[in-house]
Amino acid sequence: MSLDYLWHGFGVALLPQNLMYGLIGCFLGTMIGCLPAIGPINGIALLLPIAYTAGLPPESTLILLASVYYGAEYGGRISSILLNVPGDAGAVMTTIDGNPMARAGKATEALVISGVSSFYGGMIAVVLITFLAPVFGLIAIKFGPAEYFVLMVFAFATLSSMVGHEPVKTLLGCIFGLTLTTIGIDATSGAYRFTFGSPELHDGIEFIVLVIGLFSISEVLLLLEQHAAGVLRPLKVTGSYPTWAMLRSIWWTAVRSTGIGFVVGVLPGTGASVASAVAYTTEKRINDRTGTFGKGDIRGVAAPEAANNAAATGAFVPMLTLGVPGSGTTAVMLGALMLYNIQPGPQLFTEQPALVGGLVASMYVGNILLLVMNLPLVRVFVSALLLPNWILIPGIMLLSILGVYTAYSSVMSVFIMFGIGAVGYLLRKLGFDMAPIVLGFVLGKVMETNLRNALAISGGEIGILFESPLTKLLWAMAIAIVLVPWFISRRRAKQAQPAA
Amino acid sequence: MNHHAVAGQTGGRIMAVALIVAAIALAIATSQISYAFSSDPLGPRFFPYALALALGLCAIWYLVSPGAADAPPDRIGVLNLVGAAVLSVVTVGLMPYLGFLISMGVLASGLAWLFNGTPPLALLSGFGQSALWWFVFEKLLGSNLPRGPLGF
Repeated sequence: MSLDYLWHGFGVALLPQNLMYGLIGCFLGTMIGCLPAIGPINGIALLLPIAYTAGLPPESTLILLASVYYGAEYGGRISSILLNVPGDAGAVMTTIDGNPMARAGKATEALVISGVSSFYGGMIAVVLITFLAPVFGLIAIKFGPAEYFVLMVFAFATLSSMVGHEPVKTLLGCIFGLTLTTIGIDATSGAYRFTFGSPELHDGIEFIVLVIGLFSISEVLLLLEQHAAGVLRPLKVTGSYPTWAMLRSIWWTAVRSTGIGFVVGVLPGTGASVASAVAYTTEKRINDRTGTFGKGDIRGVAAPEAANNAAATGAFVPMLTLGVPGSGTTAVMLGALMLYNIQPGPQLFTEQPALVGGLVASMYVGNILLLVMNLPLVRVFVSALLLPNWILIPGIMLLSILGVYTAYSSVMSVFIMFGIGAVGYLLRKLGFDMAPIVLGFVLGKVMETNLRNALAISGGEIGILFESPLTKLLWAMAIAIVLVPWFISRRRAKQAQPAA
Repeated sequence: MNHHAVAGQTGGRIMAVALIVAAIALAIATSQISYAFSSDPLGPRFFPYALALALGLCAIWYLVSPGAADAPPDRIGVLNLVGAAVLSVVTVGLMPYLGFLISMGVLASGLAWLFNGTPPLALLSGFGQSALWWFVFEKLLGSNLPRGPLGF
């Protein structure tokens, strides 16, 4: 593919007004990402009509909306790290190592590491889009229900790395998350499953309600208990920036996680939450030799952040090349293109070079803007931790309620969030991790729907799950990711024995 | 084994029993899912049945080895938790009638007081934050928050 469109695009993206739209979008996106539950989709849905009625040309609108989108992926990590409250779906995994770092006084380091990893992830993914968008578009359409099902099996296999010294709690967490996905109207048969006559449950438990309940509400309850017992201490903030050696040490983690994030992002219907989960668990599988993951390892912060930014970028591939959105947010952006009477598809690269080129070039510019903008702001964000608890914790509570209420305009959803928060509090007291629950929830619905769709296509013949080259490859990868580390640790143990 | 660890293990065992009951309830509720037709051979009951089985087996395993857990909260902790829960449920329940600003102001002030804010500061911070977020969401982001008798 000729890269003329890209040079043309830089001419568009570097126009002063488009640079300004990019800057505004990046700033708004970072702020939107910070707020729990106000995801990029809300920001874009709000800005699209404003941009259209203000008469912005399509490329400027797309640049503005795209910069809100990847700005939010940068911003989502901030509340994850500082408050243990994920700012958006892709930032759930960042809490696992990011928040322990903040609690140990290393909030500045964690924020810089996550900002730089987001930059690595975003930049590498844009290079991949520049050169390989059409190729990845073709891979995406080869994914049918059987391939999706096996991909989810692979994602669960990576989860085996999460199994710590109490595997039963990880397993129970996963099952709990999976069970929650079965609530609501079953899409295949139309049956009502566990709705107990409540219309609020017809669409099932919403992801935002689950995540805010599990993380934010349970956190408030735990803090309240610690405060009552007199063991809640103010957090230390040392404010030291990471060293160059640290930033270099996360490079390969970022590269691997970007690869995973990009591929998962390209596949429609998966998105940043699956991408960051698979990247984190894979990285833990590969690198966690001393058991530091989950306790504040910088690679545990770098992996999900590189992956969620790469996934956000990857989600543009099916949108631009096939006209199929890779995520909810790109679906709204697809609507934006149609508003301007632009039909996405393979011909878009040749028919609208200014638009596609401008968008891709703006991603290069946007990632640099975000890094430059985010690094000096780190100290401002960290200062939130210095607020006294009687200001900070009611603030977390209000934002949690707002996040759920504004998304569903329903008091019942807030009550469901409280209920989930109470269960989350109990489980955390009993030593359960929240991450397996979220992962079971994220992967469960895709897994069940695709298994049933695949078997509907094959007329119940289970062989469909093993037929295509892609399914074979994914099965092999799933088996390898479980068995290879086991073999390696056995070999190491054997080698260590004669030496001892 | 110290007193806290024993209390934590007891908590784990109680949870395990609750999960076994939940697994049985899940299986019974699954058997009652009614549907006329499903285009796939597995149907809507397969996944929940499989999950009920897995949940039951894991819960038995958990009952046998509940592992480590934190000690339950003391009496003051329980009082604080119950107080916060009641305050949250009541204020959110009243939100459609009192409006966002007032009900969330009461909630945030109450929580601030529970976290040792002096009453004047708790009220100032609670209603100040409620007004700030009301302004951001209602005026800047265009959300429709519940309006009370005074229009906010």
